[in-house]
Amino acid sequence: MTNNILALEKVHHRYSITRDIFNDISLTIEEGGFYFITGSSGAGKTTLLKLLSSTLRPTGGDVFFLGKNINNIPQNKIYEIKRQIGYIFQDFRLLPHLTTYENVALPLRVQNKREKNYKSDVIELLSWVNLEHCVHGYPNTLSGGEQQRAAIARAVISSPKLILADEPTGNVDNFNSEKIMRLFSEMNKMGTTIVIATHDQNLISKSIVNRKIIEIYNNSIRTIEEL
Amino acid sequence: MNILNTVLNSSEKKSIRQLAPKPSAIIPDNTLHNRYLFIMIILLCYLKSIILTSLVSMIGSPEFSALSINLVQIGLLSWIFIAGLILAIISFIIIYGTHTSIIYNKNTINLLIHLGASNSFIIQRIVFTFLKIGLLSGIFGSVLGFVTFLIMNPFLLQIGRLLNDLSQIVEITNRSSSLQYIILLSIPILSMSASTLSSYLTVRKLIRKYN
Repeated sequence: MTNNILALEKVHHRYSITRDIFNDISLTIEEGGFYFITGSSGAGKTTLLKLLSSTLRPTGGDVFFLGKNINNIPQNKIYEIKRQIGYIFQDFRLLPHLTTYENVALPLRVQNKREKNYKSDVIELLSWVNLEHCVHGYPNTLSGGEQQRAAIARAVISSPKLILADEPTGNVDNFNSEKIMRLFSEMNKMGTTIVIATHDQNLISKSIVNRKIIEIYNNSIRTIEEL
Repeated sequence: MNILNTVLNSSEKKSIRQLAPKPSAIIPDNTLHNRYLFIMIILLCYLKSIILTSLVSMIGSPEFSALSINLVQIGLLSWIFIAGLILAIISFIIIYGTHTSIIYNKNTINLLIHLGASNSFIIQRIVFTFLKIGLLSGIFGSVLGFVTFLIMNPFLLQIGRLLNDLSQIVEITNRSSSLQYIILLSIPILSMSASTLSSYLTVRKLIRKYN
């Protein structure tokens, strides 16, 4: 029996009166699943990720995270949900004034955890993503692939239940892209639910068994494939 | 002489510093903008300290006469007015500074919220920056005011004596100096309180827009 980590029920979202993004969509994300969100440019992949991460509240309908309706959670308590989600941005969003180590440790720092309790975990994770040589380097000294791996390390350091990745391989070459997908695959095997938004069909076809594909089309979505 | 300084060029020194960086603030507080605010508040605290200590010096320790009571009343009113005015100016500067700081660090704040930072975590970081600015600028302003007071006090006493001799009622003593020290000590506390409160109220209001 599988549990749903996330569920959208009749979600409607619009940015303006003339621009509807989603019309009454329903979707379930199962715990431990591996999902791809696809769709043409501007279809709403990032918006869907934002709805799933509770960064955006839908204009209509309900979003459930581990059975809790996010609409019923006060705005100043939403951080409790966000701490259980790792988000990988398309543009990495590493803070330029912090070192790689500090950037990766940031989710733990915002949870007011003591450095002595997480220092070794961060170093270990950085070596797992082959960044041990730039622990004290600043993001502007890292290559695109290194920044991407640092962003992934930051998303997984707090052991989130769910990882949402927005075009995680959009800025890296094929070699690094495959490496990143292997990382996601490893994390998925350890039980983390992965949701990746991408328009790269190659990425979908060459990766992961038991994947599910969510396609966005005409303000609606459908789960089209399960392999 | 440190041998590293003679052997390494500046880029190498920089890379060595990067190997052992000091822990950084999540929301940068050492911006050019904050330094300007710091200097402005030091000047205001300095102005406040010299005006208030001068006022106390000039009023001196009056006897109870109609003229001196009026002088004391006027002095007291001026004291309250000047203290209030300068605190209000400091508060407005801090409100402006907090607004600017939030706009300047918009991306950092957005990221922190994405990573699960609570409102109080972000508020603490921003308010602490302005608490430090308020306290340190108050201390610097007070110290500068104290130095000026030591230099200027004999002249102020002369002016005060001259004014009081004209009235032929009041005798000048040095008893007022304890009040002057209290004023100098209270300036950092008042500056810190005004900065902290203004910053807290501003950031608490603005942070809601980021959620």
